[in-house]
Formats: sequence, structure tokens, C-alpha cells
Amino acid sequence: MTADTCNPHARRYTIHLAAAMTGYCLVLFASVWALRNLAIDPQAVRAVIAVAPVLPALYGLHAFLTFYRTMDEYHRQVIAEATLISVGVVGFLSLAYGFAQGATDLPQIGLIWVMPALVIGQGVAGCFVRRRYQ
Amino acid sequence: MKNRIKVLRAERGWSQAELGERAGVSRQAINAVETGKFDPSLPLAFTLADVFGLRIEDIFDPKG
Repeated sequence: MTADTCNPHARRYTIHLAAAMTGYCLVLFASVWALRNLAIDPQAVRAVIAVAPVLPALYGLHAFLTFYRTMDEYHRQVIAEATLISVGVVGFLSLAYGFAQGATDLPQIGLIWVMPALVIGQGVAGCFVRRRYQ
Repeated sequence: MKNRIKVLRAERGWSQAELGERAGVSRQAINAVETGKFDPSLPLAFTLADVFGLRIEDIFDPKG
């Protein structure tokens, strides 16, 4: 999800992504602080506060989709293939790990790692997909 | 799909970036089409033909 900063669409995407990431960090810190220091009792309210950092992150997804629609067909194809590879690899690795976990005493891995794995996987796959078209 | 874009571009003294600008796509897209590793959509093929002032079949060889 890197962007060429000479392109005005890319520059706009970088600004919106930076805003989303800043919002994510601020809401995350506020959420963790509130859950640790305030006596928030109802589980539903705790869940809403815990989930709150996802909202600014979703704004980042919106910014990326807006940027994606401005790309030419070559870049859209690279991004689409890289995303498909990442989703496939992360999905099948999760499935395989789940099977192995059922049969052994492998440690639990939190679902919180799915999103970073998808993003990193997409970035790595993008490098290989781009090389394929050069 | 084989094409004559590199030759046509060289005849006009255009860089990949310049052709990309005229066709409304990136330099990387032109490079990928030139090498034959990325087949352009019909609208992009028409645009490239228009930029060169030729017909699509004068640029692209579907048998290649």
C-alpha cells in the first residue's frame, strides 16, 4: 500500500492514511487507558471501548479504496493479485495452524495478528507480482 | 500479447513516462504492456492506438 508521492492522488492518500494511523494510535491509547484505569463495568461498554480503535483504521481502508479507484489498470491488477495472494496465504496458514493446534499443544495465536499478517503479506506479495510484470 | 509499442514510441522519441502521460497511465503500465507481460484492456488499447494515430490491429498482434 505504498504510494508515489509525485502523484496528487497518492499524496492525498498518504495524508488520509497518516490521519487514520494517527487517529488509530490516539484512540488505541485512550481505549487501553480507559479500560485499565476507569471502573467500566458493563461488558458491552468495555467491548465498545476496546473495539473503538478499529473505527479510525476503517477510515484508512476507505482512503485506500479511494486511492485504488484512481490507479491505472496495471496498478489495480498488481494490488488485486497481491491482496488475493495475501488473503490466501494467511487464510490457509490459519487453517493449517488450527488443524495442528487441535492435534497438538501448540500455543494460541490471537486474532489480533490477522490484520498485520494480511497487510505485511500484501506488501511482500506485491513485490513479487510487480517483478512478474517487468 | 506481442505489440509494436516500443518501436512506435522510439520512432516518436517518447519516453515510457511521456507515452504514459499521453495515454493517462503510469510509466510502469507502459513498461508492462511493452514487454508483453500485461495485456491492456480494450479501452487502454484504443487509447494507445489513438495516441499513435493508428488502429489497434496495427499495434497489437493477438497471435503473438
